Amino acid sequence: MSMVDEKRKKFISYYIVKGIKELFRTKTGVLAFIGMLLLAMYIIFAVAAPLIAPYNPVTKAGESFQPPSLQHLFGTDNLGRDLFSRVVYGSKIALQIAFISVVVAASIGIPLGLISGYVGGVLDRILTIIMDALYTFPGLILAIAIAAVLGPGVFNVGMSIAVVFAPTYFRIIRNQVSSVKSSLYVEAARSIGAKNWEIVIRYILPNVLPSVVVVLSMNLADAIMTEAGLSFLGLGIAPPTPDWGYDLSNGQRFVLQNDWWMVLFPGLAIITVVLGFSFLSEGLNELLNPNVGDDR
Amino acid sequence: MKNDANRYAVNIKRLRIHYQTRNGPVKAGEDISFKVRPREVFGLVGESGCGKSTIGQAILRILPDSTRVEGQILLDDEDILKYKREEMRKIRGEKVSMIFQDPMTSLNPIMKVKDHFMETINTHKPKIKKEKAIDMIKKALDAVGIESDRLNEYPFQFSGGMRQRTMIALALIMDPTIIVADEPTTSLDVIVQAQILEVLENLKQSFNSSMLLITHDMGVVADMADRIGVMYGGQLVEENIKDKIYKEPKHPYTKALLGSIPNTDIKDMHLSFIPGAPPDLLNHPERCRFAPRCPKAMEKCWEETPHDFVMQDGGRVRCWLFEKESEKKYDPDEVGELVG
Amino acid sequence: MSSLADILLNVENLVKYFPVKSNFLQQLFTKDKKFVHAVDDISFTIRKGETLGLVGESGSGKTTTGRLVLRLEEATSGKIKMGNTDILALKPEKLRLFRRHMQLIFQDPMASLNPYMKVGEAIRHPLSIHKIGKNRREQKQIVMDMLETVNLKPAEDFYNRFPKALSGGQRQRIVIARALVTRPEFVVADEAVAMLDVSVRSQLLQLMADLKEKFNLTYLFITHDLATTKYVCDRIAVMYLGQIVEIGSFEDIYTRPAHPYTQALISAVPEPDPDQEKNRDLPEGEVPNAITPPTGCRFHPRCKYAFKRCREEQPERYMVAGDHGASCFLLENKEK
Repeated sequence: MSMVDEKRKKFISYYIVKGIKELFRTKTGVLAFIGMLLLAMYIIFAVAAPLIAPYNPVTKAGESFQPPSLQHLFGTDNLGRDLFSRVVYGSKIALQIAFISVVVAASIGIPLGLISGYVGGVLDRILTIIMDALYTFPGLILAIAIAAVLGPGVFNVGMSIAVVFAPTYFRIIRNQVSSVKSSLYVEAARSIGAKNWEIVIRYILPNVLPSVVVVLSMNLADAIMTEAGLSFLGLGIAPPTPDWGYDLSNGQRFVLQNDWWMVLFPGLAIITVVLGFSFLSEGLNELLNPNVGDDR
Repeated sequence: MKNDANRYAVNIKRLRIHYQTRNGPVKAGEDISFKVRPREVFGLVGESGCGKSTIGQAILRILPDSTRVEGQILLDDEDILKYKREEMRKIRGEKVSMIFQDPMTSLNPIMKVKDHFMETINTHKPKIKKEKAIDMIKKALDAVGIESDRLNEYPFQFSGGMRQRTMIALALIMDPTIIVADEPTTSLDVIVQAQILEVLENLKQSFNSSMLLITHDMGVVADMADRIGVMYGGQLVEENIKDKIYKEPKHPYTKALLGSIPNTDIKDMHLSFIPGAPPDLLNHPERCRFAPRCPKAMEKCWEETPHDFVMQDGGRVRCWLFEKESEKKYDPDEVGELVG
Repeated sequence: MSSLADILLNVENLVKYFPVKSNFLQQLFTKDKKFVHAVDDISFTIRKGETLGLVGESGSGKTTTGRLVLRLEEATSGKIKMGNTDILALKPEKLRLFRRHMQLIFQDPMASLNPYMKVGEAIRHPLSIHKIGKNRREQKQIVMDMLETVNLKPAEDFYNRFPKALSGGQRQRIVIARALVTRPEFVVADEAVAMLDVSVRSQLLQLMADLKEKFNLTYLFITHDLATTKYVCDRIAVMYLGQIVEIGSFEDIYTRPAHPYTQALISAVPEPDPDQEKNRDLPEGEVPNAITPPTGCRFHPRCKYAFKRCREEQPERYMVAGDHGASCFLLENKEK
């Protein structure tokens, strides 16, 4: 390896180590690190599913109702499908839906929030009322209603969840914009003659976006939960596509037979991914809003 | 022969204040020593970030727990840095009290003015009879110019100037050894500021407390202070009686500072300025803090922190330029006559 | 006597009332709406190249006046003319483009800079808005020159910094650079040095004086600190509770203050001189609220000379000498 490569390698690993050391300084930092590890694992599962999963998740791989063993790490379900493979492939679905729904929700909520907050007046009142109504409506029930209309499928499920979460982004951005609007640097922008859209994009947006970053990761956790809930109720992804919520629902039918593995592993997957996102968002929160006087 | 205890209300020796931040240690106070006599007003002046407010907070022991404070703060000859929380609570308000900068937020909005006083009195003299307490309150309010029939009002009904007067009355009601006034007039309008300064001057006559007057405004201390200490970059760079500070300033910073203050003398149209900016208290190298901005900096100034030299007129200055002239180095433990 | 051609800013009978937000019940039961009389009928002129200091305490209306003149706030009534342009008649788009001729230097150097914008870009922005400079490179060069003019060297270094990395004095220089980059004729400085350290304040005052010469600027210098006006101002107007109570050259105001409020203001300034026997002749009390200002002369409740007429009538501006005038009945007979 050339000298340059060597130096560069040293450089990057130096920063990684420094970053990790920085994380470990606080309790939340450690949590964030754990969160990142968990998520990394699931992302790897999602991306490299065919390489990691030992069996095809959709077809029969062994005898039905087999408890966990060396051949089938998580056991098999009622149709003899390998649960470990289903969990691994399930990550792909779960993460896909989570990201789609959050991206769409943000793409709706953020621009609307910007406009509503900046323009104010009647438009603001109307939008706020609509968004507040959606926001206060219990999320899962709203998602159920929309999913029932749209039907199954990754995209449709993503959209129904997006509608549920869009108001969150709208509210945060709109409230931030309302306060940033009256700050001195926005007035300065006005005083030099900047046009309104310039003020919104160059002066207001960068200052309100950080508050959304923290919510983004929490939202991802919520999205996973909601998706699992929808699938559990049979409104999400249709079988035989591997989906944790569906597997959970399927598994609970057989709990009385003591086939505990069919419920435990999909459940654990859901919980750990959600934890991963939650820890990460705690860490991000601390990173972006440093508090004085933490214990070090 | 008077002993040390009766000579000084507050005797600060080698005070060092450090706190940790994300970016490293900040030395807010380094080797600070000075004495305040009974009934004296000591003006501590300096710009923002010089550490003067930190000294005041250190005396009240209200710095955050993560701050490291070393040295001694002798209040009536007792080192209060060694006091535990409970002991400190007993003397706060009674032996040492504080007047804060912002009168708007320093008073509890849901407590009547009278109750603010009663709380202080009951904390320190729980057995006192109510009538006696009311008498004390009336005396304090009288001294600051507030009619006693306003006792039953709430802080929001008071104007800014009146709230500050209330704070002053609260600070002196228990007749403390020392009152620390941290920028007491900075957030007030010019005329109200002058009114408050008048109040403080009158108090000097009628109460026994000493005062540590912390401010960036050299106009404010020009009237009130007996002695003045000038702070820069976390250190006390000059100390002397008031007249000498204004008329014969020694330290280049003191001179520059005096020259850069706007005044209303129409014959004096010259305004000099100090190039550069006040130093960052983070990661300070061991040298004279003022060297980068000093017109007279020598090589030595960049290499070693100047010692605290005692001059013939009794003043002190932390500057290598005065090494030869000086009589000796300042020793905080030495019992000597303070000039003035 | 100045010729009309000389006058850059002409303000006549400027008024600004802010509505006081009352709660729903109050609105049901009271007919009269309450207003804060922030600026109540003021008139003044500024000649080209002149600096007018606007001095007052809180509640005087000085900051509001500055913003009204730049039309960052809509006036309730009055006339504002800059050169030949009627500021209040400009349509929004024309007003926006006219801003290149009139700029504001803000009080708080941290808050008036966008934390997410490089300071060089912040200064360049007005150039791109008003299409000054053929292309980006030329604009950048203009910004570099401006950085050097305000003593931020090396300019290349400062261009890419964020406000967070600069000291208060440096930030204020950026604010000044941004305000002057379009070569405006008129600049309002709103407490431009109030939030700076004393040792930095004088640097900035010197800079502002130098720039005034260099760019032939006309300033409205708003401040609560009378002492700073001495170095930059040709004339001074003293405001109290929304009105101009005295106006004159800075020498007039400092040496022959005619209005009792001005006299009080001068005696209240803490002088950094231990010998000066403070004969503080202070008025009682504090500035009353601007929602229900006192009748007649607004200063009468605190004025030691007040007599019956002061309570009933509002004094006009009586000219004491040349351009020096004050609104006080004591001067009625002394008018020349």
